[in-house]
Amino acid sequence: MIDTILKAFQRKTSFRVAAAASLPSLVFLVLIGSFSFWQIYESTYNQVKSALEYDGYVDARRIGETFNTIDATITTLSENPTIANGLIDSAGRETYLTPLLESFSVIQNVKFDLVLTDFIGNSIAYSGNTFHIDRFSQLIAAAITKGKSVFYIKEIEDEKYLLGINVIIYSRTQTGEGALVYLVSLDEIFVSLLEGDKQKTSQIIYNIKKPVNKVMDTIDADGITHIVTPIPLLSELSELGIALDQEIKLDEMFLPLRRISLVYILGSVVCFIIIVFISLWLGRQITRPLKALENSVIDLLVNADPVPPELLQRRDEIGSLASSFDWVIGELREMNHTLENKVEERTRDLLLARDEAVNANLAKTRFLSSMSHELRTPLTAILGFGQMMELVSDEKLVKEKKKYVHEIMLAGKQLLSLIDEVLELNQIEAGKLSVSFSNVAVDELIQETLSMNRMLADTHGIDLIDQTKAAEQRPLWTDASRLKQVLNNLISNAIKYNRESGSVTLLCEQLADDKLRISVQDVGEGLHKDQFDKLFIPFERLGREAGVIEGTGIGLTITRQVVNLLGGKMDFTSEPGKGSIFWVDIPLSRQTVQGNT
Amino acid sequence: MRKVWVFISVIVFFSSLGTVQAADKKAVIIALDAEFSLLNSTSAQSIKLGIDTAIAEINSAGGVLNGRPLKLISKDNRSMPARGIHNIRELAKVKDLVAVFSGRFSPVVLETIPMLQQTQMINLAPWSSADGVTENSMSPNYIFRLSLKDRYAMPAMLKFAADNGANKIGLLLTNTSWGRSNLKAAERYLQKTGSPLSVGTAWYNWRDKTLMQEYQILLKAGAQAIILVANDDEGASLVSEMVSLPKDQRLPIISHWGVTGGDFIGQMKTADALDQINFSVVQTFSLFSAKQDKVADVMQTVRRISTINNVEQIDAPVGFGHAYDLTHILAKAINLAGTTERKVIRDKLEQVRDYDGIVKYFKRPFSAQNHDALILEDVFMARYHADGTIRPIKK
Repeated sequence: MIDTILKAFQRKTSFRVAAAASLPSLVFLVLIGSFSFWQIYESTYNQVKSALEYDGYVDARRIGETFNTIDATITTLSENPTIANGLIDSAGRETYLTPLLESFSVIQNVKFDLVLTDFIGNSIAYSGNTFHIDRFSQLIAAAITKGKSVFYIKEIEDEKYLLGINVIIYSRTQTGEGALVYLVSLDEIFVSLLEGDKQKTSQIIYNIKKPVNKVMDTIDADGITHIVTPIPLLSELSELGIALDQEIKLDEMFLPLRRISLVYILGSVVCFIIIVFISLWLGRQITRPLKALENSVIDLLVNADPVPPELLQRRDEIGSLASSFDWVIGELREMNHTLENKVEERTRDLLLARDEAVNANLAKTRFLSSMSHELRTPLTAILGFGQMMELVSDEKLVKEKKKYVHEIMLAGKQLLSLIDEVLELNQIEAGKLSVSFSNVAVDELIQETLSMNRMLADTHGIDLIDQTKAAEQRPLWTDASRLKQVLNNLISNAIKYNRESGSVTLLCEQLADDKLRISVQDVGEGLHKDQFDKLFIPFERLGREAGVIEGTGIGLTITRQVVNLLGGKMDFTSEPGKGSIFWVDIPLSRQTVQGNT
Repeated sequence: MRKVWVFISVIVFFSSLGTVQAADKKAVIIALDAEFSLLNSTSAQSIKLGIDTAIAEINSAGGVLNGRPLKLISKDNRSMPARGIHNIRELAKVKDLVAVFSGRFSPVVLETIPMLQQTQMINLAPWSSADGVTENSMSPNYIFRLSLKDRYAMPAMLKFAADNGANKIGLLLTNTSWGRSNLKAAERYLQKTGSPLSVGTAWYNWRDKTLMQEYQILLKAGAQAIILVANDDEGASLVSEMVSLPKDQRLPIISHWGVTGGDFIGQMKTADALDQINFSVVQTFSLFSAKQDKVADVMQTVRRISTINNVEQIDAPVGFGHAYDLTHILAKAINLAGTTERKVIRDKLEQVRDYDGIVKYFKRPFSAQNHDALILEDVFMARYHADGTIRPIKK
C-alpha cells in the first residue's frame, strides 16, 4: 500500500504539489488549529471550573458565616431575659416581645421568620410569618425535650430553608421550656450572593446538598455539572452537615465555544480539502501541458501533428518549453527525414552490396559450375583420349598415339593451369595469397615478361611493341613475380584477343599520385559497353568459350585481385572495332602501397 | 353437710360485701399541677403535703361519696404556662377527675383560664396571688382560691412599710403578670392613702442575673424601703448582693411571699446574709400561730404519711395550710354534689359552709361573687428566723 503511494508520488508532480500545499495547511489549520482550540477549550473550561470552585469556596464560607452569625445572634437573643420572660408572661409578650423579635429578624441582610414557641412547638410570639413554622411543631417539641438546639434544611413549596430551633433552657428547672425558631430562606441568601453577577444568576443554580468531605465535582445524568463545596459551620450548626451545590450547565455554557471549535475544525478540514483540490489542479496546470507536449512528441512521431498552438501561445515557462519543443520537434523531423534518406541510401547501398553478394554468390556458383564444366572438359578429353589409346590397335597406335598424347598433354596442361588458377583465385579471395614486397626494377621485369610472351606473339603473328621506357623508371615497391604474372596475363590476353597481324603495345607512365601506369594496348575487336561488366566475372568468356582462343576465363579476375593485393588498380577502356587498352596502376613506394592495401 | 352450707354462705356474703365495696371504692381523682421540677422549689412540695394530709384524713374517715377514696395525681408544669395548659387538657380526659390544684405561679394559672373554661375544670389555687386569678372573665368561674391576693398583699406590705418609718418606698417588681398585678394593687392603695410615697417602680426579668441595678435606681431615688415582688432565686440574689453594700445602703426589704416558694436561705451566697438585711415577708398562715390542737392533729397525719416529724420541717407553710383546707372544702363540696361531675361540684363549692380549717374557721369560704376564701385581715408580715422557719412578726 505504502509502495503504491510512494510510486504515485514519484510519478505525479500534481501529487507532490498537492502534498506541498496541503501539508502545511493540514499541520497549521487542522492539526495545530484544532489542537490550539482544544487547548483553549480545555484551559478555559478548567479556568471557568476553577473560578467556579473558588466562587463555591468563597460563597460556601459566606453562607457558613451567615448561618453562624444568625445562630450566634439568635443564641444570644435566646439568653436575653426578656425572651425567657416571654415564655411566662403572656400579657407582656405582646408588648415587648414582638418588637424585639422583629428587630432581630434581619441579620446580615437576610430576612427570616423568627418565632418564640412553647414546649410543644406552638408559637407564642413571632415576627413575620408563622405559617411555615407551625408545621414543624413536632420537630420543635422533640428538640425542646432533648434540651439541645438543632438545625434542619427543609423544603417548603420548592424552596429550601434553614430551620433553626434554638432551645431555651429554663434556668429554674434546667430543662428546655421553649425555643426561638427561625426559618431562613436559602434562596434569599443565594440571591444576595449571586446578585453581583447577573450572568452567574442566569447560569448557576445554588442548592444545598448533604455532607461531603471535600470539594466534589460531578456531572449528573442531565449533563449538569455540580460543584459541591462543604459549608463550614460552627458548634451545633456543624451537625447540619451541608454543602453548597453549584449547578452549572457548564457544557451548555461552553456550547458556543464548542460550536466555534467544531465550525473551525470543519472549516479547516473543508479548507484542507479545497487546498488539496486546488493544489492538485495547480499541479495539473503544470503536468497537463507537459503531458500535451509529451503527446505531441509521440503524435509527431506517429501522426506528424504539430505542438498544440495554445501551449505555444503561453508566455510562461510552459510556453517557452513548448517553443523549445516545437523547435526540437522540427529538428527531429528534419533529422528523421535525413535519417530516412540516409537509411534509404544505406538500404540502397546495402541492397547493392547484397545484390553484389548475391551476385558474387551466384558468380561463385556459376564459377563452380563453370569450373566443374571446364574441369570436366579436359578431363573428358584426357579420359576419352586415353580410352582411345586403349582401344586403338597397336599399329595405328603409334601415329595416333602422338596425336592423342599431344591432346592429352594439352588437356592436362590446361587442367593444371586451370586448377592452379582456381587455387590462386581461392587463395586470393581467402586472403591467403602470399605477396612479398621488395624494390623491383621495372625495366627488367617488363623485358622478362615481353620475352616470355615472344613465342606466343610469334605464334599469333602479333607484334610486341615496348614503349615503356622502363629504364627510366624508378624501382617499384612491389612483388616482382606477381607483377610479372599480371603483366603476363595482360599481354597474353592482348595477344590472344587481337586481330590478325595486330600489335600489342606496352606503355609506362608515372602518375601524380606516386603510381606507375603500365598499359597494354591491343588492336583487337574491342568490347561493347554492355560487356564491360562481365569482363571480370570468372569463367565469363564473353562468347569465346566455343572459340579457338584458349583461356580459362578467370585470368582477368585473378589479375585484378593480384593488382589489388599489390596496392594498385586495374582498369581498361575499349572501343569495339578499334581495340582495348588495359592498364595497371602500381604504387611506386612503400607508403603508397600501404595506403592502398 | 350443714356446716358446709353455713361456711359457704358466710363466704359468699363477705365476698358480695367485697364486690359491693369494690364497686363503691372507685377513687375520686384530684390532680395537682405544680412546679415540682423547679430547682430549690418548696411550694409544690408543701402544697402536695397539704393535699396528701387532707386526703389521708378524708380517706380514713371513709372517703367521699359513700366510701370512695380520694386519689391525687401530680403533674409538673415547671412553672411554664404552656405546660400548665397542656396538663389541664390532659387531666380533663381523666375519668372521675374532679379538680386540679394549681401551684405557686400566677402566670401559669392565668394562662390556663381559657383551657379551664373549655374543659370546665375546677382549679383550686392554694398559692397564686395575682388578682386576675379569681377576678377573671370566666362565667361561671371555675377557679377557687384559698390564698393571698395581691389586692391584699400590697396594702399590707405598704402599710407595714409606713408603720415602720419608711415614708418613701421603691417597688422592685418582676416583669410578669404577677408583678403587674402587684403594681396595680400598689397603685390602687397608694392612690387612696398618702403614705408611703412610691419613688418609682423598677422592673426586672426573671432571668436577670442581678437585681442590683434596679435596686440602686430605687435607692438613689430616695427609697427608704423596698417592696419586693420576687421569687426565691431572685430574692436570694438581691439579698446576697445587698450584703456587700455599705450598711447605710442596705434598705429594709418588704417582700411578697414568692421568696418562700423555694429554698430562699439556701440560695444565699453566704449563710448569714439574711442576718445582715432587714427582710420581712408577707404571709397568711403560720403553723406557729395556728390553733395548736389542730396543728397537733394534722401533724399526726403528717408524720404518718411522710418523713416529717415536726412543724419546723415544713417549708413554705402557706402552701401546706391552704392546700390542706382546700382539700377538705373540696371533699365537702363533692359530698354535697353527690357526683363527680365537675359542673355540679363547682356549684357546690360555693355552697360549702362552716368549715373549721387549719388556716382559720371558714363560715362560708366561697360564694358566687367571691372565690377568694381569705380576706385582708388574714394577711400578716413575717420574718425568717435563724432556724430557717418563717414566723409572724409579733406586733
